[in-house]
Amino acid sequence: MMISGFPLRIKRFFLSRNTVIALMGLVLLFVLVGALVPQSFSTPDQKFHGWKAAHPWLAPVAEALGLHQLYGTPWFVATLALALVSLSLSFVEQFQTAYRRTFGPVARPAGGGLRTDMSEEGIVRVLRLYGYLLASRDGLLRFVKHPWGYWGNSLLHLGIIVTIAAGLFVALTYKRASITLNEGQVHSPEAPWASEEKGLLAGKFVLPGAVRLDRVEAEFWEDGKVRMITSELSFGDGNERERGYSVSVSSKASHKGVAVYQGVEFGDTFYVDFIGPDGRTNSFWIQIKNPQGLRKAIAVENFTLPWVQGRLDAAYHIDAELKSMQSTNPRFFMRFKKFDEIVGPVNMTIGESARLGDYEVRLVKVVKWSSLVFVDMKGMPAVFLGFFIIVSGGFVSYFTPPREVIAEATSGGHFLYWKAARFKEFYAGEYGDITRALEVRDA
Amino acid sequence: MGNGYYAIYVGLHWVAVFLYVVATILNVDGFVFNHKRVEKISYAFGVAGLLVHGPAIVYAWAVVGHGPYLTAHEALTSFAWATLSLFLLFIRMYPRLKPASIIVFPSTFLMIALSLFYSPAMYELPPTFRSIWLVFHITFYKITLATNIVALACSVFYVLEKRITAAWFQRLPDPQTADLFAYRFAGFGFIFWAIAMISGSIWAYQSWGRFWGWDPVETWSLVTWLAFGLYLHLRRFFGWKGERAAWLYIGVFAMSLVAMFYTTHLIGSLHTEFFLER
Repeated sequence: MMISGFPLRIKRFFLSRNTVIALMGLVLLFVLVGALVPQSFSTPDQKFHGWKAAHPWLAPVAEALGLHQLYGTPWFVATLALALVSLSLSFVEQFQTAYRRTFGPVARPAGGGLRTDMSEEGIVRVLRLYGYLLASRDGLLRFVKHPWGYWGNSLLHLGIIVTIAAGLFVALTYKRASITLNEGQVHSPEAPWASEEKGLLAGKFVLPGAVRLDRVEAEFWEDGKVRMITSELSFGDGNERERGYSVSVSSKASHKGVAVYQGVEFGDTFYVDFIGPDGRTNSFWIQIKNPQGLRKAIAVENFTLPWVQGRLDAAYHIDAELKSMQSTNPRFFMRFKKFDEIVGPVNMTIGESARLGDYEVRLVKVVKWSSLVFVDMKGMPAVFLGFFIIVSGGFVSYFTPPREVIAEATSGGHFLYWKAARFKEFYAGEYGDITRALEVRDA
Repeated sequence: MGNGYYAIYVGLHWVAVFLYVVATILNVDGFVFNHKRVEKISYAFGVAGLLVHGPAIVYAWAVVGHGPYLTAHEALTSFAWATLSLFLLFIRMYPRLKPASIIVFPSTFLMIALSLFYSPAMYELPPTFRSIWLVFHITFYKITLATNIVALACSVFYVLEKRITAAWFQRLPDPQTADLFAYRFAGFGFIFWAIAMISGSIWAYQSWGRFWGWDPVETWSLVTWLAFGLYLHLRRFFGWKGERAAWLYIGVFAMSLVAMFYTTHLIGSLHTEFFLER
């Protein structure tokens, strides 16, 4: 279909090499700025504020231009959109070119051919040795090596288009949330998440059913570092049979379109009773990250409880006897701070009690906890398809550029014309070998 | 890990460093002063270095149960081995690339020597690193670096040949050939870099449920890939060649070093969160 007038000018604008280079340069500039200026969504608060303090003249400018949320700014989105238009038109153009070169009529070359006295059969036989196959016989004989190479650029650009388009779809519609659960704890669909992020067009992330963490199992290396974490879960809503899943790091599970990932954080949850002087018992539980060795402990510091005036610190050893990282008998430590006074630390194993100031504290039970990440992300197959097309197109384009030999019959022989779609000088050696094998002489 | 293990591992590395140093000296001497036999011997020393260096890496791999990609030391030593061994493969396919050895040999020596400035302590694999896609990701970055160094060598040759008239410079590939190979290998590097990025994306999706998070490492990798793409487009559609293409490639190569070495090990990111503390 011929286009003319304004649409044609638009097409020419987007296909012009200046536009292409300008758009590439702009995208590169945006991404470079995004790498140099901390992004608010991915930079810890402390680091973020530290950067602002270290760049007092740049920080206000960055704030005003929205550089800390660069990938959501209209400028970036508009640039990406324009780049997509250019890529799409470029793909169509390259597709048409590739089709023409593969299936179109063979044009007689302008000149510069070399003459050989070889017969057609001889030429076919020799060229086959060099990977050139007879592609068409339409007055002229056309031999092509790596004919698929004509499609490389269009595939590469198509792959980029598919990846960007699918990636945008994913970015707008994805839902991702994380929670930490104790063994036996149920997270109902309406319960709030520990953290949640979602695309602009995504609604609230609601699980297809309640999820219960049944069991957490960790494997350790000899030095106490984590080797693997596995959680066993059950999904259900009470009206249907529960479905059990097992998730490990790098091994997810899927339930009704929601992917579940094992988080890298886990540890033990300590259920503690505080018995006051009046005999009243208050209970609480605290999650503490798993220590990275038998003699190591990670503390939770300066937390408060409503019935205690002051602050508390808690930590634990994974094994009260300091023998095994797989122990189910941890030693729990706690101390109490009030102004300058520090009481403790006291320590106890399961069922034991200790005196902490005015309180008798008792470690009632210990269960494992684990972090879990839930993802509802549609469009990933298209993203992976885009990846595959990019790799295929790039490989075909750069590793198998097509070369052609055109043979024109003449009295007592043939005129031969050789050309390479790209990197002609790189294949000069091949050209020399072929001409020698075909016993050519100047026309 | 016992002291015996470290003694063997570090000892083999120092032997490899020695062999690479000798290879470099002989190679440069052989090329500059046109001593063909000396140049040939330099390759023997280079291969000998690989034969000592490679088993050291394999030994460590067998002991700790994972490949050489967890620490700065492991990354540099494996990059060094991959660069030289791939270069030896390239020159079999493209003999005209042989003069690039005067850049590849010193690069190899520098990388392995630099690796020994970092602790060679071995660590177990964190759970998120147990993925075949991580292996592809790392492997293709190593192939990319080897390819890019060849393109860099050719670009440097082009720039220097315009400025230095010493006799031995005439033994370098002629400017047209240097320019051609720089372009060609830049194209290879562009594709390998894409594959490395994509396999990293797949690994990230498999491990964390997110194929792209604008992590500093991911972002710098994309910046570099776009820069390579810009270089290739300028060459193809604007006819950039010769000296300005060479200078542009040298700049893009420097950017690739930032992406490969600086961001992965020194800047806080999802990658470095899971690199063990040293």
